[in-house]
Amino acid sequence: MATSKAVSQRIEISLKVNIISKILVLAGILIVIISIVNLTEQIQYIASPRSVIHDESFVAVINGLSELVPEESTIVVSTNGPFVTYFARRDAKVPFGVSSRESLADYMAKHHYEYLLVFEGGSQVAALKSLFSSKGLESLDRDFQRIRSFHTDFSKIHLYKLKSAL
Amino acid sequence: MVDDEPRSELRKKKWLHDFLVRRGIDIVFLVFMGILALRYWLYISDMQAPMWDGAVYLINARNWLTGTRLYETYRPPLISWIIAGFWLFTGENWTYVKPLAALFAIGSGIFLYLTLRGRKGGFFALGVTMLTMLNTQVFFYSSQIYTEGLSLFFLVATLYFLKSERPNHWLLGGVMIGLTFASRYPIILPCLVIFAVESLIRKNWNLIAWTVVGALPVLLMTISAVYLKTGTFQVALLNDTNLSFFPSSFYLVNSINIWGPAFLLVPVSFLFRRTYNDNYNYSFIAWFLISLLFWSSSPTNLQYRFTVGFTPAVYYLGFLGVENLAKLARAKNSLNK
Repeated sequence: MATSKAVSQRIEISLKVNIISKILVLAGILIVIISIVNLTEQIQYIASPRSVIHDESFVAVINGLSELVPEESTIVVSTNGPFVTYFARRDAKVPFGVSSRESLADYMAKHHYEYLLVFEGGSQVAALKSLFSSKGLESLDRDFQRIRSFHTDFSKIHLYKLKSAL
Repeated sequence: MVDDEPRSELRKKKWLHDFLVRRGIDIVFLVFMGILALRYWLYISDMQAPMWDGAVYLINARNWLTGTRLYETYRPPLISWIIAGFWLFTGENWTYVKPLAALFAIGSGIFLYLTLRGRKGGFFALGVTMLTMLNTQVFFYSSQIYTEGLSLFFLVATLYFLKSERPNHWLLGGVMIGLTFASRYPIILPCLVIFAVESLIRKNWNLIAWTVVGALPVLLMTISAVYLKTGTFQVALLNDTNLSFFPSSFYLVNSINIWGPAFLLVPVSFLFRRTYNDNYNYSFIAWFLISLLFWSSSPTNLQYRFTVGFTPAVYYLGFLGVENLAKLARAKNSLNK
């Protein structure tokens, strides 16, 4: 009697384990399916829709700089140096170590750099972030002459020339 | 004569049935790769500009081609060499090389499927390959002019050749290790892990010798080409070379974001003795654990995209969890009967 009870208990446990295992297998397959669906959706969020890779006029604008800046000139840039170097075919320098408009003008004069390209609101130099903001740009007029401004799909770009070089 | 026609019809149907049973998963795989290629093409053709690093690789390609100073000397050279080689025939145009990394990523999917199909079966291989290729980081960064797609291809090819039993494949495995290094310096680590584990498991001196013979010339050629061009050999920015004794939990905390809920199945695979009984799994276990530890040990540079180099191992272990559960269910089932 006791043996048959033990056997039936064992069968019951075994059945429960079987059900749990099946549930786990199904959960596993479900997780895989969710992963596929979920990750496919996420692709659009990894690069913002306003990223440079979706900007239709960005490359054309940077390409056009080569007509405004002489060939041997170096352009001081607030950010995006590689794009300027590749598409405009001009050396691009980020003014690391510079902390204000005055020191930016001094830095450029010292190195004989005449051109400044500002991506409005973008700066690789933390101390110059406010200077290159839309408000801060107004003060640049004291040392720099704005040559031209460009509007791409998602950004505003301003090309300046150092006044002392004019 | 009248009876022959239905019989040949029947034979054709039987052949088709047998073919579908035998090759059904391969057909699904081919359809999947076709859809993936189409998806890459649609995404890439909509791309208006390269990303930051992509622009750097383009400049370096131009500099290799024109014999001028490299823009950033610590960048791995292979992608720029391939671009420069392509431009030799087509002329310089960045849009021509937009699909370059995607082609390599698709190649890595093919290698991954072929590696796993023989040992783990078509369904397992298809699952791991699909999850890997549809991973956000893998898809996105291999749609850019970045090194992730390239290095993934050479890494998976290393796995394919080192898992093989043929000596000429071991030589190619070594070449792939060298090319992985040239395509993205740190990804040589998982290659070396796979090489070390396969050498230890098989204790085959021929495998070790052939692999070293294949790898050394490519490594030396890469290092000397860069050194001769730049006068130095630097594998990363100085800031990024610091390793911490206390690994960051960044990748574990963000694991669901990076790999999706499939990551939850990875610990499941470690719970089963079956995982450790089969030494085929050792390369994947070591690849996952050492890569996770290494990339977590760089406290100043933690990025989702660095996981591309061990994503196949993550999904392999995830699928192993499912396989172990399925085998457990089957075993219990037969016990009940």
